[in-house]
Amino acid sequence: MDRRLPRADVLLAIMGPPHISDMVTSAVRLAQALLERGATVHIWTCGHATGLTSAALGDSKPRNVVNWSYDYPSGAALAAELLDAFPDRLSWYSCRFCTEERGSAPHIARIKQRPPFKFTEHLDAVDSALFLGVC
Amino acid sequence: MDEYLLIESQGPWGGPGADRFVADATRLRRAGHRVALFLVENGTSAAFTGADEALRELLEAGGQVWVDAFSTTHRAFAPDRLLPGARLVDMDEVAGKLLEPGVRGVWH
Amino acid sequence: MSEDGRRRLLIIERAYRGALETQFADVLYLARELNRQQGGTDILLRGLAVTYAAAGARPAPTVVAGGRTVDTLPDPRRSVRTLIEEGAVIWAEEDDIALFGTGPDWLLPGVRRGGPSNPLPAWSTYRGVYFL
Repeated sequence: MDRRLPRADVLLAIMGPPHISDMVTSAVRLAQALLERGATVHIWTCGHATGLTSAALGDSKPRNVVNWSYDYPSGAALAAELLDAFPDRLSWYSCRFCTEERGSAPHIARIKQRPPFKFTEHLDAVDSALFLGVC
Repeated sequence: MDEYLLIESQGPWGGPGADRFVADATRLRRAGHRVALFLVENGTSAAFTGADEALRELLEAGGQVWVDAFSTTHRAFAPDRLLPGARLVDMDEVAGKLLEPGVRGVWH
Repeated sequence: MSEDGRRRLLIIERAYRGALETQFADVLYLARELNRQQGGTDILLRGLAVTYAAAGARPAPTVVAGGRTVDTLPDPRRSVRTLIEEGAVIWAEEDDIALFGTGPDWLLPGVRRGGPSNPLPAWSTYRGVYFL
């Protein structure tokens, strides 16, 4: 079996923690813009960003007590939306070590766990890589 | 000569690193490289205070300053306070630049 | 309000955190709940957070993820208006307003200016001071 990574135009490595800045918002916006242009994209998450695709999140955020019946999508639901819309051009990887360390397992379907000692393979597989934040 | 797309996401309230990153952009430009600095998230704030010398230096050196329109709207920054010479852009334009062959992207 | 009648002061200076992750549950959602629990609280906006109190700002933008448009990003201007309606006292620091404001009408009605030419909230008069 060929274990080589697929090539991609851009890797967005989300290294920093969500919730302390608008980094994840920017990552989703940039991924969407790249994919709408027909590019191929890899997303890698490290640290607490591995929790973005934790299956435990479900499809919706906890209820808003002042807008009880409104549905607010979870991070996992938005990742699934991206993967559904661009199944052949988006690959989403999550660091296996961070996933275990931060309790993010199990992930939703289609999230591929990779060991951190393989990370340079991900850098080699793309034309351009951006590191968003720091672990 | 290389071409850089440098992305500043933190801005003055994120600590001194933002100015250092803009200085990196100016240094690269003065070394002869093409440089576009894209301000996004709180990084956009530097383009609206009227007090950011580091951005002025980059513009004077011939660099470009792009400012994310989405972040600007979300932060209620007044477009008429935008630093002269800087330009509001959307994420599609940023994606297009990043996909140009040879463009080196760096996120701060 | 606390047992001794003194309010608490909440200071917000780290603004715009996790729009897509937090959506409705941003720092002002927490402030609103604390205001409810305490029967009134004071909130000081500092740094970039003074833009939470900008009047006339456009609604929060939307984000597209795949085929879904997310129209539930935080809307801090609306949240500040709600806090005022619910009895919170909102302050914004003048030095920071000067960086982003466009004139006397820039600030939401009901928000108090604090800074060089107006008194800031006096910390010692509060039961506690907390940075959110």
